[in-house]
Amino acid sequence: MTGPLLAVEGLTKRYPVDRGPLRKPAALLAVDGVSLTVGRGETLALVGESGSGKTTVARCLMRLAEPDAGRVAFGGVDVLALEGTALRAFRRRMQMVFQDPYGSLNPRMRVGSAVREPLEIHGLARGAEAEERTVALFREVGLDPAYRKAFPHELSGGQRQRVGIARALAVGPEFLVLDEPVSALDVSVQAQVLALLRELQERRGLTYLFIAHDLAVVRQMATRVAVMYLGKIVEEGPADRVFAGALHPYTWSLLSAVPVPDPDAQRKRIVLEGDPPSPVDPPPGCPFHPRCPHPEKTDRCRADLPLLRESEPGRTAACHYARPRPGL
Amino acid sequence: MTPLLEVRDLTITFPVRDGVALAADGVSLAIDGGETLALVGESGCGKTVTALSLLRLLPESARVSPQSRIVFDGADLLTLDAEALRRVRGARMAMVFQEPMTSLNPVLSIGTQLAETVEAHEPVRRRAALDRAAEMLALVGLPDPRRVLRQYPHELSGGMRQRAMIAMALICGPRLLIADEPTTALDVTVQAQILELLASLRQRLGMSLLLITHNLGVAAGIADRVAVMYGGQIVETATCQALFAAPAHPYTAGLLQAAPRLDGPARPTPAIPGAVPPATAWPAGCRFHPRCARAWDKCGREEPPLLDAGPARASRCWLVADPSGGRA
Repeated sequence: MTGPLLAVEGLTKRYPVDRGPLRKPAALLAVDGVSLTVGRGETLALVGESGSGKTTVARCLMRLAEPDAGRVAFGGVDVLALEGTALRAFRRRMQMVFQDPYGSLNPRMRVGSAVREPLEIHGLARGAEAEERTVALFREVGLDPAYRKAFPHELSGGQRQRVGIARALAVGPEFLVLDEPVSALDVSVQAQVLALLRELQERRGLTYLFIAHDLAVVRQMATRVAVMYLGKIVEEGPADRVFAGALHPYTWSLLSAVPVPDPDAQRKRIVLEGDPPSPVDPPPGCPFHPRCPHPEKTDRCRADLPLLRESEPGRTAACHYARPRPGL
Repeated sequence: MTPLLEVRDLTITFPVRDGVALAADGVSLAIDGGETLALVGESGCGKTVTALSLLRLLPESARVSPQSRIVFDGADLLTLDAEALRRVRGARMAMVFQEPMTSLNPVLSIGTQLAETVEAHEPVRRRAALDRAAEMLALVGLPDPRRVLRQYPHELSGGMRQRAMIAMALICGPRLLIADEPTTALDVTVQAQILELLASLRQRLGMSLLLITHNLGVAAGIADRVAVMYGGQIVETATCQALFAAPAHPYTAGLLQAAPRLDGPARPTPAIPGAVPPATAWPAGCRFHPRCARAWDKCGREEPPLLDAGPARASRCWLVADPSGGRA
């Protein structure tokens, strides 16, 4: 097959915001015209701070939220038009791993049953065969199959995340949406889970959408990176080139803000002023302009919304004055 | 010089369903006037319990062993009566928590909360207390402080709430500020702002800072000295420079290697195998030995003390005494 495995175009999702009994509800534009593609076997990292819309993108892809506009094509199938058995078949191909497996696993269900359940729901195996496949899944994610009898609270954070991954793998997906899969884990355990994800990708030929806010983690995992700010993608490109010299001043600032474990690091830090603005009432012009550290910022930034355009071959940025700024 | 704070042999246990959790075990540390000490470790290492004990904020079920000493400004905090303790807390020693939303009162305005803090320690009128509050809010970089005085915690963003929390902690001019993961709940660009603020305030106000963090990068950016905790014990202390240049304890080295970073090559980081054991069942011998690549038979038999490992540094590891690792 040629072309990307996943192609998203103009994805838009609004949420109504209640502003009290006397005012009309406002619209929160959580995702605003997001387009992205993911090639088979690739890892696209979707990066952004809280409220940037990255999780809403994932929920729309999984059909856990219904977008207001846009197209999602997965392996040539129009995902947003799927219903009934076709939607169920699609869900076998695309699965999701959540940040906190403690919140996504049923606390009263033994973790073995949690992993076996999707096999039965999708009619892939039952009885002894389902049990056998559950054992194999536990081994594959590096868990002793004896843990099948355990409840989620009896496992460590890393073990619970392995259960979350095994449950997602049970139906044999091609594509995993990984929503902050290691953010809740301690550093020493994080590295174990990242290694497992890389290993599974290699062995099963998986494609990943890796949602994260930690750029140091993203740098290890991603083939390509898309950076979101206030519901829009502001920069997209191959990971090595984005990390070597980001084009958008927001990406500069994100990279610059990551603490480095080296007291002697001589860095030209960009410390942004203010907080990300509310997506209910985004600033006019470039949504980043009130916080933008770009030395060439002009009145144009306050008036004209910069569109995502190719600034270098294979790289896009939504900035009137996009130019690469070296790494840190 | 007598240190501002000296903790000696602090041992804290909790009765739990399946036994007794040894949360802090013989913790000793000292902080000089104007100094920043970072207490670093992963979840369950005892760093937060240690911090809470300094202000006698431990839950009632906690047992502090009788030999423990917490000497602050010449007085043993563990033997102070309620009134004397009240005069220390929030005045000479103050604390900032991870999630300001849970430590600010949601039904009182920011101004009322700050003013009440002053009034609890000094004979001032409300108007004077509010003036001080406005000054503090300006000092922590909140725009339009008079307006913030009238606002409620939910009306502020996460970064602004953390600034208000810091203003409240500093309003009585404490000599020691304890900050427990003050930036963990914040986005990375806001985290950079708060760390910069803490560093500049410490310098301007000449106070000491005890920073509790799991993030080695955060510690590297702000600390004069670092103490690393594992299994309820301090396993290494050193100046910030020395620790990051050449960690002495294999756990510190493992943590540094496991942390994904933006400087240096973009390669997968090695994990520390295994997981932190429960506080009810620390392993015999060195508590880290089951996860340590350099352990030898002695490490499983005998518990190492904190050994002198050079000027102003110590490591709880038999390698200090036998650098050959048991082969000599």
